[in-house]
Amino acid sequence: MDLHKAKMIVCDAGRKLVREGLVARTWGNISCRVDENTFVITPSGRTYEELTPDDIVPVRIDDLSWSGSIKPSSEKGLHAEVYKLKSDTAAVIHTHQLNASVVASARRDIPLISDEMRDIIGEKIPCAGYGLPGTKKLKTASAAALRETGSKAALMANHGAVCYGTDMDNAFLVATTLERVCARFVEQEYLKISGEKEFRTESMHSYYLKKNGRGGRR
Amino acid sequence: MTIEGAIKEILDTAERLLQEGIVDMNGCLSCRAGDAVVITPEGGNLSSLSEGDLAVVKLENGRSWKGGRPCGELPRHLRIYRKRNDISALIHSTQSSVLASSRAGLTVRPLLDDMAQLVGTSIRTAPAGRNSSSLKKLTNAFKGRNSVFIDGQGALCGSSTMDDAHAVCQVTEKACKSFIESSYLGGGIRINPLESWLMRMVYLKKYSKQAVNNR
Repeated sequence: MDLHKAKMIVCDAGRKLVREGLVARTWGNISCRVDENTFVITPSGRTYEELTPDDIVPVRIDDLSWSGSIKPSSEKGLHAEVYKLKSDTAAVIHTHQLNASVVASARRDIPLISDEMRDIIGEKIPCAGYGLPGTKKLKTASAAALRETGSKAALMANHGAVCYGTDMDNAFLVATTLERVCARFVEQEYLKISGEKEFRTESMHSYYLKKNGRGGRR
Repeated sequence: MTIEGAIKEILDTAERLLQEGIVDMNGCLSCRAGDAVVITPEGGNLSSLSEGDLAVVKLENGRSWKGGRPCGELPRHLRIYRKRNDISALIHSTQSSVLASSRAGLTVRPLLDDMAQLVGTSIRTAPAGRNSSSLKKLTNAFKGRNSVFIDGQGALCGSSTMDDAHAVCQVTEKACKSFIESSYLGGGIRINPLESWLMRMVYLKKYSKQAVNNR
């Protein structure tokens, strides 16, 4: 893919993900494959709304080297590991999206809960082991979780999620589907525990307060 | 920041906070402006605020400088501005998970690394009173952190700019949502306290400056 076109795709995807509420401010990062050994990625610590193609940084997959004065995202190693998994992976999105983060905070895998999940993401969404942001441990665990399950998305323990696709639209679809699946998973688990028939956020909070708040279990 | 700048910050932010559900119509936010504090008015409607509605008070003694009658939250805001030089904007968040957590009266610890980074190693609960003892407990509970629960009333979220205080509100809501909802998934797994502290330090010293430095 042409380098400028790949940078444009990343900028556009950033704004689209902000609109969908999947990323915000400087959180998360997005990349697009240029060729066998190169991808372009969002820079470190910059808001999506202000990014131009000139701010997007090319990075080599084999050694993570990059050029220019703008520093790429510190999660570039995670993206490189995901590109190494499959040659047809063309886009990677790392988000701190809300519902995926909830499930990641409990370090739970998500079993198959809908046809949509199977068709778009896979039969199981794994939660990768914990690692500090930007570390080898985090990227290795995330790549292993994706490789072992064949899922197009993995939760990252206490951190967020990583999704990939055959193009940016596909990666975007995986991320939005993941958010719906995670919300539904939490709802299902809550309904099982509470015995209620219908999910309402207010009821869930009341149940929580009854069990954990003052007068309940501390 | 000038008083005019602080007024603009509040007017620009209030509508957005309302849309995101971080505050309700009667919500409260304020901004430090040198020796003064600009704060939303008592009983004011945030959806139709104008410059003349905002109250400007002296930081030293809370006396009115100009504008409307200040929000009843003023004593808390003044206390924090006097004790914390790093805080120049405060928002009282009443988002749903924040509100539920403040009612539980529990200490929320980081289950997600962005809470450790932007908010701190825990969110503690301070009493809702506005007497000097309660205000002292409030600043103690807020110490070294960017959010504090007000017992049963949501959380005060602060930072050096209104934009960053807004980010603290977003992360506080996410942290509370995870804290509550992970309890239905077998329970949230806390980040090691030392690693929480380490992430907080790296964020404050390095990452938070990247937006300016990485150009």
